[in-house]
Amino acid sequence: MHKLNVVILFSLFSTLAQASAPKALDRWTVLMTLVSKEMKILENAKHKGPELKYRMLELHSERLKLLHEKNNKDFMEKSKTANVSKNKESFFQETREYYQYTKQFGNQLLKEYPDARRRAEVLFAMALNSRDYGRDNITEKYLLETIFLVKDPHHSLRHHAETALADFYYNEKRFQDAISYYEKVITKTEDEWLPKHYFNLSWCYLKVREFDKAIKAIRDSYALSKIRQYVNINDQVLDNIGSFYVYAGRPLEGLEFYLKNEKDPIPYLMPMAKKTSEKGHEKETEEILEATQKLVDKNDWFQYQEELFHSYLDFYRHYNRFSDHEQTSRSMVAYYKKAETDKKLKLKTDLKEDSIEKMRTLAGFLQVKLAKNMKEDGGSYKEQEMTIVLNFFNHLIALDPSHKVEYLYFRGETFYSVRRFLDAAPAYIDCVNEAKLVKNDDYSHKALNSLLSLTGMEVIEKTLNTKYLVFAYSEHIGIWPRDEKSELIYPKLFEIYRQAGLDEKASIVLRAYNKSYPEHLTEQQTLMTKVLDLFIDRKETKKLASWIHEFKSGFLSFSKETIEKTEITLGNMLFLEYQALAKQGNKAAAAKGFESIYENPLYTAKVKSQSAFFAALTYLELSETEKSYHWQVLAFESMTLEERMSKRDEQLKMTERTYKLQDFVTSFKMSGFFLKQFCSLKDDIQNRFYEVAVMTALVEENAEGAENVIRLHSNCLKKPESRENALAQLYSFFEKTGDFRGLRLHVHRYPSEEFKNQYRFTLQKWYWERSSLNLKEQIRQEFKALKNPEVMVWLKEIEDYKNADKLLSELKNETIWEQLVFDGEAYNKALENHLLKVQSFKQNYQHLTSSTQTDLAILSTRMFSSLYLNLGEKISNIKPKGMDAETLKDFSAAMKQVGGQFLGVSRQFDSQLVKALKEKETLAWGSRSIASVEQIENPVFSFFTGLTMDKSRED
Amino acid sequence: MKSITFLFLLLLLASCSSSRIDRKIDDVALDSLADETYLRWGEGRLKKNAKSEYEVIGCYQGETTKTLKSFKNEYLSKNQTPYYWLHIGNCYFIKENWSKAEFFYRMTMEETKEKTIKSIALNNLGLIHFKYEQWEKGKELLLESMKIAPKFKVPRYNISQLYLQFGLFDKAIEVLNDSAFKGHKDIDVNFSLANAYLYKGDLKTSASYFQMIPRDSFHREDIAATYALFLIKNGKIKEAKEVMDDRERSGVLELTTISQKIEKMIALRLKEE
Repeated sequence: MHKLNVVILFSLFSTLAQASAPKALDRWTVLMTLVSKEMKILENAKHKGPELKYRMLELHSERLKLLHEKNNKDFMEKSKTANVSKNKESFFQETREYYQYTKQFGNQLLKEYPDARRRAEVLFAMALNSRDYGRDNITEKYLLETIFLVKDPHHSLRHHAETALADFYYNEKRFQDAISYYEKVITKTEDEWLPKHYFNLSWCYLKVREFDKAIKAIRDSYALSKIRQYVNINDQVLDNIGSFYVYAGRPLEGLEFYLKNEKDPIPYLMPMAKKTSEKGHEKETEEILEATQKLVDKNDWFQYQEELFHSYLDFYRHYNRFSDHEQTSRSMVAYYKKAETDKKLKLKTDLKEDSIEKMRTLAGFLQVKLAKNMKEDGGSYKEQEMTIVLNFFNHLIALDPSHKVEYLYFRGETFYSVRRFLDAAPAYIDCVNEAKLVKNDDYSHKALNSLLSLTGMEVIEKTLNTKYLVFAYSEHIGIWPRDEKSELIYPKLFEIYRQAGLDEKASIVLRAYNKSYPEHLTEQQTLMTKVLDLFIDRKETKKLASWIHEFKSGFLSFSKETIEKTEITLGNMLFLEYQALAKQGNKAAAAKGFESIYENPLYTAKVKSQSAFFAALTYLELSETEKSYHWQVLAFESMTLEERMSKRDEQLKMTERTYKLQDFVTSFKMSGFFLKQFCSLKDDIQNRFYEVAVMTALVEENAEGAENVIRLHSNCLKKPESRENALAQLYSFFEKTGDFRGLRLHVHRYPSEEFKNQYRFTLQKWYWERSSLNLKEQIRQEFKALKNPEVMVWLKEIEDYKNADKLLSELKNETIWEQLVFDGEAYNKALENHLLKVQSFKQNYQHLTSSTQTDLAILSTRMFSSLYLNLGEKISNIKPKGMDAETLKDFSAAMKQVGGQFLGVSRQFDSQLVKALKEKETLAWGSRSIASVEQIENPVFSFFTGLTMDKSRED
Repeated sequence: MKSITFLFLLLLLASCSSSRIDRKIDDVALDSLADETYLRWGEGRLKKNAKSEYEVIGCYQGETTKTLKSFKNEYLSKNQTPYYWLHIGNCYFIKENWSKAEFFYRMTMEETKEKTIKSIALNNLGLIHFKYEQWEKGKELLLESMKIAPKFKVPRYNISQLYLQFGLFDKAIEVLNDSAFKGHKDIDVNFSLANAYLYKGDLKTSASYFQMIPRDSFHREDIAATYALFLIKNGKIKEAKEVMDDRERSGVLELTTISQKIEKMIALRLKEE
């Protein structure tokens, strides 16, 4: 199964490999195919002699090479994806096996044909196979045997064997052995690889510290490489010759060589400078670098500048020339900046990361050094070193802004390490701010911890220290609202703010604390109370109001009692100012003040209701009753049910005071308003509001308003008699104002026996007192409608009186005797008839004089008095025509006697009436008719002539 | 245009009409009730002699609205003073706002414990009831007023007016002859007695009281009307006419009606002559 996987993987890999490099694979396949084909042919040969077998050894070697190539390729490919170094040998299993096979084949050949012509060649092939694919260390031995077998020093096989042996020794670091063979090899000037052999020889000399020979050999190699017949290895030579000079202790000669021989020696000068530096030639290194810089500058070879900077950095770092290092770093910052801003220059920036790393490493090193020195030197440090470190961080920030936070932190740490705390703190703050910006929690944490540690040392002036502490605390809770340290910070930060009087900030902290640690509610409530105390101390009413809103919406779960207490405190604070104004007499300003509190949207309903109520009270004190009512209503609207209930006594008093201030209209509105609000309570206050409402309406002659109150709000009363009283007042009102229609409607609407009784007497009074015939007729109709027996009698009497009055006129106008001739019998008859009429009148109407209708009784009595007066006068004054004087005298005397009797009756009526009126002091309208002069009523009317009083004489 | 003129006249008449008779007396010697009422104080007297405060006087000087406002504004400082509510009531009385006047008189009754002030309030309330034609109730109040403060003259005078109005002349004379009015020169007291004797038919005594009334006062419509009747009774029709012609019209409807009747009668009598 594993094998299958390998096959599959291999196939897959092959496909991919084909896609990427088909030619290479093709070449290997072709070669392998060719080897195999030829091998097959040779193997199939019937007679296999040493020549043929040697060829077969060559083919085996070739196949070995191809297999190794394949194994190596597989190994390399695998190395790309996994660490296979430990299993390396397993990749070359095929190579090893085939090597053994080839080796056996060669040994067999040597054994079969010990004297064969090709023996040396077989040994050479086996030596190289062992060198390249084997692990049996037979290379040297077989090569030496080869050399031994080939006696001819000019034989190419011998040259190849010597070259291979020289290389072998070189690789085995047996430089002296190698030198002896290379020196032979280089004598074969026809070898195209001659420069290579010189080059290897030069290395061998170098290794055995024969520097002059080494330099000569390498310079020869350089010179030979320039000759076309040889392979040019000048790149290798140039890469190494500088080092040769350095090793030889003559680096400036190397510099000279390069400058002299190469048009562009810079690629070789920088490694040489490095090497020179490493070998301790500081001065020379500097010269090489300066020469290099000159070349760059002279030729505008900016492509080398970046690398050259690095060479400088390495150089300065090597010799601890930190200031120079920093200067170069500064130049590099400028360089990279230029590269970024001026793209046309195409300045290389490939090594920027390396530059950063170098600066960073050095800055770190120096920082540690600084701290170390500080400790060792008892608290002193070199200012210049400090500056260098800080500059490095600046350069790093410029070059590597993505790690700015880190450098800022290090800057803070640097200051801290040298106890420059005043500089450290702002540096940490910068770091925190940057960390927040780039969301780097790690550095936020570090910097804040450092800052906390620093502030905890209390080495900075107190105010400044507090400032930094506040920063650290604030940022800490801001970044990690729920964190072990933050949990401790909240109360501390709160306390700092509170002590500084920064209530807003303190409350913000508290809010955050509550949000993150709701489980610490009790502590938070305590803290909040402190803030509130602060507000109260400073009379910060708006803030207090704002918090009450918060509490009401549930913040910190304060109890209802606490909130209410706070509201009351707030109210007291708010009102104090205006109450003082009012006390000073400036009530108008006080009222306006209360209004302003009410209108401020910041304040709670409770405060609003209180302020509106105070406004109402103040306006009332200003006698501005309408405004007072307006504010009273607003206050009421803002009150809770409980508050409304608690204010009822005051509301009543204010309503009463309103009418005492002569504003009955507003008092009526107020009483109606409150009556309606608390109808269901049915208590004494309700009763009083009811009474006030009815009373004020009637004072304003608003009968409809009073009636509405009775009709709509009588169900709000505790005592039903209040309704009866109100109805009686309304009745009285209609009666006083003489409003027949109103009274009639009232009695019909509220038909109590009491009203009905009173009603008929009122109507009776009006009937006789009022002159309006229309009203009289209406009253008569109403009497009829009442269907009361007594009233029916009254009606009959009125009717009788009317008839009597009419008949009285007729009787009074009737002449007893007016015949031209006196006839005694006829006269007696006429007199009798008249007297009978009077008699009849008396019989019909005398009952009217004892009517219960006082006016009617008076008028009727007066009527009879008038009737008998008229009768008496008429009889007394009869002077019949055609009667002689004597008879007339006797007749007149007799008639006067008769008439006198009637006049006496008339007087009797009058005196009886006057006596009755006097005795009873009757104040009936009818009596006025008696008290007339020339039938003219008395112009004295008690109301018109009466006087009101203002004072007593004692005043 | 015609209708507009008519309307204007109506308005003018309406504005002139009053419920009461203006009886200002400038000479304090003729006002024996001066120390109880300002009602008859003329402008000059008010300005010179009134001891009372502005609020009281202001009402009698025709500034009722302003004065009432002033009372209102001084509520806090004065509502406990004895006369505060009474004077407000009087101001409304002068303003002819009877229901409010009545209300404040009743307030006075409720608020004060002083008998004299109660008596004053009762007197004024009595008068209000006369306005309502509640004679008996008015009388009761006046009697109560007199009972509480027997030395007051005004309630006596007022009840005499009630007696006169309802023909109880002897009662009126009895009240006005009380020692309270002894040696007085009061115009209204003398007029009331003249009136009472006239209506009683005692022309001689009536004449004696008419003689005590200053000539200027005969312009007052109630006095003029009564005196004209006196003259008529004495057969002095022309003189009666002169008196009626010289009268100052009160604007009181009831009085105007009586005056018109008298004038009519005078005209008839003159025609008969």
